[in-house]
Amino acid sequence: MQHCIETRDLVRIFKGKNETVKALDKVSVTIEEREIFGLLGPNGAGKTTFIKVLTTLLLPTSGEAYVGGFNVVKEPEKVRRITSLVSGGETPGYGILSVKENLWFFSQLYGLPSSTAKEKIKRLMTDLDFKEYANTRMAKLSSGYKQRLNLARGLLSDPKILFLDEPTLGLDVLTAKRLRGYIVDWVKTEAKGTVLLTTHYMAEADEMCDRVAIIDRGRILVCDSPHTLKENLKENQIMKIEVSSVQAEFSFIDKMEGVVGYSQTRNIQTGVTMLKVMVRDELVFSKITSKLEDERLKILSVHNAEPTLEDVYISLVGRGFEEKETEAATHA
Amino acid sequence: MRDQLIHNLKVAYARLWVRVKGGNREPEWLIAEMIIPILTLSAYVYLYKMLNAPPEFAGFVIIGGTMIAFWSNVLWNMSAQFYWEKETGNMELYMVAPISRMAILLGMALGGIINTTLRAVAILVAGTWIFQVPFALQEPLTALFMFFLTIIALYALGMLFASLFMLYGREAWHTANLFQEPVHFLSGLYFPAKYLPFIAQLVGSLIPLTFGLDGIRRVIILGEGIADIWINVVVLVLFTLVLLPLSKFALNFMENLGKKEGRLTLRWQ
Amino acid sequence: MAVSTILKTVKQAVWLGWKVETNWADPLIFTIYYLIRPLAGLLIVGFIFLIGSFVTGAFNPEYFAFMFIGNSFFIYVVQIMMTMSMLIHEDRAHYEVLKHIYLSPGSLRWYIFGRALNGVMNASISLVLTLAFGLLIFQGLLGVQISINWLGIDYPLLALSLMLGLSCFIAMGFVLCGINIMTSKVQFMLTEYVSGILYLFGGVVFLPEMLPSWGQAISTALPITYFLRSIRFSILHQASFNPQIDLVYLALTTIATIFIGAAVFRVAEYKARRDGLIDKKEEY
Repeated sequence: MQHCIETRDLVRIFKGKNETVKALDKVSVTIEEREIFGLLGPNGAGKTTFIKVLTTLLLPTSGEAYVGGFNVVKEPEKVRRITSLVSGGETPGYGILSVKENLWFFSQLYGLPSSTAKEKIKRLMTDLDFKEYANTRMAKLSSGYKQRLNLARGLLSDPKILFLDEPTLGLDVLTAKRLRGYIVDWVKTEAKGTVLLTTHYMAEADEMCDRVAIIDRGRILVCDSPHTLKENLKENQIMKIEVSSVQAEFSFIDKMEGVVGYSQTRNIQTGVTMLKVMVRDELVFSKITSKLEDERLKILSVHNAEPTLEDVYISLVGRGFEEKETEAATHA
Repeated sequence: MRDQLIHNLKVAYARLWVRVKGGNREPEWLIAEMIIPILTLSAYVYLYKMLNAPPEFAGFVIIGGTMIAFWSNVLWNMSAQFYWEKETGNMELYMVAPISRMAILLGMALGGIINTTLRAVAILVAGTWIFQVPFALQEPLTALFMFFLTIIALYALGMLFASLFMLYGREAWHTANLFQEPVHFLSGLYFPAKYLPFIAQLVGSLIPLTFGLDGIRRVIILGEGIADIWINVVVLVLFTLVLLPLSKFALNFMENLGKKEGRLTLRWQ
Repeated sequence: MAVSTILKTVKQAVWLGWKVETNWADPLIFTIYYLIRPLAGLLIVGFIFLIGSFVTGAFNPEYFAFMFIGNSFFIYVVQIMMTMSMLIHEDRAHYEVLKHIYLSPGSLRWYIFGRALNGVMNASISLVLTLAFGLLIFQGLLGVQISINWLGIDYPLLALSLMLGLSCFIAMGFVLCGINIMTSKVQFMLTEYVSGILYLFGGVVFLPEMLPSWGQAISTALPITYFLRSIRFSILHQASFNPQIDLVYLALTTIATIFIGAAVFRVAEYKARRDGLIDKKEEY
């Protein structure tokens, strides 16, 4: 059976002057049609490298990759005809041209007749709610509207497969939520395409994806639906502990017996660190709280938590995605 | 095949349209690109006048100044263009689109020619009027023919540079800077290149502009005809025949190299 | 503001300019910007002169020296204008540090002054290299007679002329900075306009007497005219110049330019703060 996207032992190595980096390490993944597939991992995990190989921007070092049944190395032109790429945090286009003019230009890269392009542009601007900026120069738009423009550009050609590389990076809560909703609608009701989404926002993957693969240091650790991945964690206990210090070192938690892993979020403004600890046995928590008290750290609150995708990651890797210094409020 | 060709022609048109629209949207640029060159050219004309040089030397300067506009366009809006496209994230989109890269380059070149011709004509008219440059034009069609031949050869060179600079970041920028004044000197923009030392002439003969400029001047200022400048014609045709396929080869080569090394869309190099 | 803060700001700015702009770490790039390009510019005017003289059969070594010195010292104008007009754009839109500099204890003005001093340093290096290679090519290789007595240079006059002239160009640079703070539309072309006008009307490569009367009037109002005259007198001792009068005019025009530069920049700073332009990013 032909999958929409398939990779077999995909490897990509970057050789620098002083070091060699294996960005993808035998990645084997299959994605079906009309699926929203998420690739979740911390910065530097290999997500963007994976997308670049599939969109024909990068050659793999070894292994195979097929998009829409076409080999990305041997048949790149055929791949390009059925795919589209939207990268978050970027605003490609020409600042001196208006929104409408930019979209028309990109429509021509995909061979759309002008009249068809104009209709599509009008519809996309309405659907993404930025019609009033049609004649505004791109340079004058805020980042939220630039990203809407970016997404509209990606959808102009009605791609069979849409690659979204961190599409909500740097956006405010409302804009990010709106874009996510639009993408889900697009897959399920509109064009019936397939989406491969990379993100390091757990909530985004949880909300949007039919299946999620967690990637770390170039390797796929696990791949299943978000629900199943979290269900599999039920054997472990997760506790959230608020501590009134942002300077203290908490690495001792990792070394304690019975601890599967932990993550910490330091809020400089409130002076509070939120520890999220995953343990095999409830009794370990009392050891942790005792140890915190021994370190003269004031515990503000302790409560149970439902497993999230980050907890899945912690259970596999033993650490959180990243040390965060302020609340990740945009993706609560 | 036919559909693919039509598609790529549409792409070229779209890129041309962006260049023309964007390039003329700010009137202050348009004015600056006409006035600023005239300031420098005027200084050189006055220098010739101070030396009591024959009046046709003023013509050499004006025509040279007119052609600078095209050379600057080739350097900055062709050669270094992919560097800018990489910085803004457009390069990625060109690479993933089902188009010929040459279509993008063609659109850039044609758009550049249109924009620059507007400015160049303004410089030529203003300079000729201000300094009362004497023309001895006998064969206007030959002059036009030489002009187009020169432009085609120049932009073919621009396409080659664009391909080479695709992978390089700041080096492309610095190389474009390197090719400004030295090329102005070696190609004889302000004086007939035949007066330069032999070694300088030899190096200058590697630049299509040298032959084009010489031919255009001889036809417009000195009243020569096609029979007198046939060598220039042959050389420019040869340049074009070599540079165009070379630029396609370089484009494919650099793209593959970029994809192998992971530098195709790498920024801040 | 304490003198120590001012000196510190200026010193940091000079250091920053050296690190960011001078490209000393890359010999090739350094050579391109500080030798090859200015030298090519000198070769162009030098050959215009030689070829023009050749076709008329009359070569005047005094005029050649006039052109040679004028074109070489014009490097200061180009370098200072370029440094100062691009400074605001780069620090605001590209590196995004302008607001942090503005908010720091040192003043933005002294920071800009420090960057301008770095521009002067770079121009001085370029000047020495261009003069050296220019002489090597014209005098050494081509056998051109250049009437410059390097041993007879009036160094005090040269130093005074440089001090006054460079102060004037830096003041002009502040005008450019001020305009660029208020609008980003003209940043790239401002340098070209100013350099072009000064090059044409400042008696850089030809005698201002060649200009039409209105052009000569402009020439007499420009500080660069007196700057180059003073420089030429200190190096060439050509009888046509009157150093005292030229110095006085240079001083007066410099003072006027400094007042204008300070006023424009003050207005620009106020407007930038009022309209939120310090950290405004505009793209093309």
